[in-house]
Amino acid sequence: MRAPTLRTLETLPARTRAIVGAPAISSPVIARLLELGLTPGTPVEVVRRAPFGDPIEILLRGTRLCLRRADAAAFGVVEVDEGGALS
Amino acid sequence: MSAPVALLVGNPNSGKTSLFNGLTGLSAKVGNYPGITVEHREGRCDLGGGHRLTLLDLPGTYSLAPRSDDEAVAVRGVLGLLPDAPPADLILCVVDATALERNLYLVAQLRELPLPLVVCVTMTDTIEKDGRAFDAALLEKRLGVPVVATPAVRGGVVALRERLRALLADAKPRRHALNPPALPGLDDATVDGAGRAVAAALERAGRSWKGHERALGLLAASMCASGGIDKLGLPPDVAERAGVADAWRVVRAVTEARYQRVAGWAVDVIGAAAGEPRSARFTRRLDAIALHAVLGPVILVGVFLVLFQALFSWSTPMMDGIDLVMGWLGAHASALMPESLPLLRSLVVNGVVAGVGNVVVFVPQIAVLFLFLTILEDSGYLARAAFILDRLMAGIGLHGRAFVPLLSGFACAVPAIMATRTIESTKDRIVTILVTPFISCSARLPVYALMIATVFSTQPPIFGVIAPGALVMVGMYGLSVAAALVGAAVLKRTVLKSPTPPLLLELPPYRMPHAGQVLRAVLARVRIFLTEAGTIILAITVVLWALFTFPRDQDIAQTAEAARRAVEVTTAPGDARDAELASVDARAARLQVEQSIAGRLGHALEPALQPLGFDWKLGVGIIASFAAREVLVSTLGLVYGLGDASDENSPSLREAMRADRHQDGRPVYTPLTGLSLLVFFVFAMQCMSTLAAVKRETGGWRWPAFQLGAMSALAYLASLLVFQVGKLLGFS
Repeated sequence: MRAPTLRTLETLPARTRAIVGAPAISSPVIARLLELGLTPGTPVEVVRRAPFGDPIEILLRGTRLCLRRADAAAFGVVEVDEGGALS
Repeated sequence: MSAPVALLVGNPNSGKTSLFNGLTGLSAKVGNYPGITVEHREGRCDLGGGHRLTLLDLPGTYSLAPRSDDEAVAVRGVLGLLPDAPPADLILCVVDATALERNLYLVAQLRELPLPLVVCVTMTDTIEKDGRAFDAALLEKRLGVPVVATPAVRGGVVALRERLRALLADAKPRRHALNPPALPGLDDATVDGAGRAVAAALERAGRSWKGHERALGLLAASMCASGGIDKLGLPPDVAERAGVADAWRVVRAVTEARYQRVAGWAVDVIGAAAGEPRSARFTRRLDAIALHAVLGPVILVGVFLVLFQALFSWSTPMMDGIDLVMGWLGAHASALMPESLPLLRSLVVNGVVAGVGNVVVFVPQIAVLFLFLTILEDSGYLARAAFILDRLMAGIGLHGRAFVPLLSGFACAVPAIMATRTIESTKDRIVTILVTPFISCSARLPVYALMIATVFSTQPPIFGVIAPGALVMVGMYGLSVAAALVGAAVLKRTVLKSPTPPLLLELPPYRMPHAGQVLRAVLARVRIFLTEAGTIILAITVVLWALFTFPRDQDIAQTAEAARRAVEVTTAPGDARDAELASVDARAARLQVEQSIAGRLGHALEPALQPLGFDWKLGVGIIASFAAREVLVSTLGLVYGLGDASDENSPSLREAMRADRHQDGRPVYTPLTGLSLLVFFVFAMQCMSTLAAVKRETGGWRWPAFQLGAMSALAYLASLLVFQVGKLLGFS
């Protein structure tokens, strides 16, 4: 079994499932992301990056949410499953 | 006794507006909140058994900590802080069953306040189609407030009506709040202190929420973190005292605690699915194509090409039809009026009927644009378009949703400006409204075509192949796009300084748009345009008519009448006589225009226009083209004595303009003058209808006045630069 690696939501490739951690910085956007359900311990799945590279789409509590990579970088993640989410 | 008032709150895309439409039927009225661009929807609902309800549809929000002005209106409505709004007897919170946890977060916030809450769960039909059950009774037991399933089909609204009637008939709805979650390790005293400040402010607004300081303090902390506390219209000292020192930690803790509470509520409310639900699978598969790295942008371009084509081509036959009908009406009205009252006849035909025509002619484009926009929005595709375009639009500091208005601006700024409604941030919406008229609309085409035909078509091709006219045309479109983009970037850094709007975009599940809802949305836009912008357009048309009609010169009319009689005596009936009569009328019309107020204004403006290379005739044309840019062409026809039926393809107008000379014998229309005039028309706000639309969308005359001043100044300076630099470089 692999040890969980510490990364941020921004760097996750598409089709990766992970558990988000607490945001590292505070901003109105981050506050709203928390309120949209991106709270510590929540499982998310990075679905894809937009065709021009930014923003990213994540699957969160059954809803599809887009956020810019700059905002996603504030959230640390613990990876659960890479590449197998859609299998 | 006035009917009880219910507020409708809920997440965006939760089916709130459909529910509102279902409850209020045709009684809904759409307006604006005074001074802001946020829309106000109100309607009546007959619950049966003599019970009625006034329903107010608040803007969608994910949280009671507002980020945008729209959300702030929703929060102020809930807190009873909206001016002129009656206190709510019921608060209907709409919850989308397919995104249950996130929607219940708003319910969790509302439950911490003493509000008469009823939860309406939409999309339960989607859940059932997936083979799952929605247990409304279980959720009601857990929430402690009435929960009604209101699927879009099969009488969801009927069930809600019955429940509301029972609630109102029984007794006052309960207003008991849940205790806010406890937050161990945080300073409750600061939170309570902030809560007391908010409670005091609410007390002043007539709402006593004593004993709920903790909940209000937590709300204040969230608002500090979201930056929304300044948007509530609270007195500045309250906003300051409501500041929570450790707001950020409070917000993190309380958000987490609320989601724990929500998770407890949601357990087993929706039956477990065997594998991926059908509805989710459909959206996932469609997105794999629509958001594909290569196919996604291609499909996007295709969708917008169709929209654009529709706006340009499909509305043209309707607009031509309206022109025909208005012409027929004008002729009939003219025939009905006694000939002894030429002035009244002229007012009716050239003022009122023409004014109504000026208004109605926009309806096809508005209808077509909103038809497409509503379908794109309701189906869920518009959010996807914003997702794809965000990278590009963020580059100029605008939201992805500003793309549709800017693109529509190529057809017409009026529907385009009405389409800015989908942009969430007020500042970004106003920036988009301000720059959209720079985009070269279809009304500029006749002006471009006339000038190019007059001065550039005789020039030799560049490098032997490129027609100079084509180059100029491309140049004008390029200039207009550059003006809009640079204008947006400048405004975002100065007058409407704000950071690039953050992106927090939900991709809702794909849904089939409901034909009735789409039709309603289109009709609502058309009605708003006709009643609010239309009256202004009609009024300005009459004013312009007066400028071109007064003062009346009896001599001109008498001379023309004598000339007509002479022609009738000397020339036999037939084509030759008709031509001579038309020429007599055209001469009279030219003389009348020249000595009208507008003609005199044109002469008075000549010293100011000369540095741009324009003479008084163009001055008159510019005044007239305030009605609509293409009117420049027919007005030039008028002042060149060719009657008012000239269009940009009339050889006679082109020849007359080419033959026109200044007093010193220089030609009036040179390539340089032509270029100067074209540049003027790229920048100038020569369109009363656009101003009327801006007034309606921004809720006042401040922004249209700013726009008119800034664009006119820019147009003048740009033309001045072109003409003077051109002269220095040796062009004439």
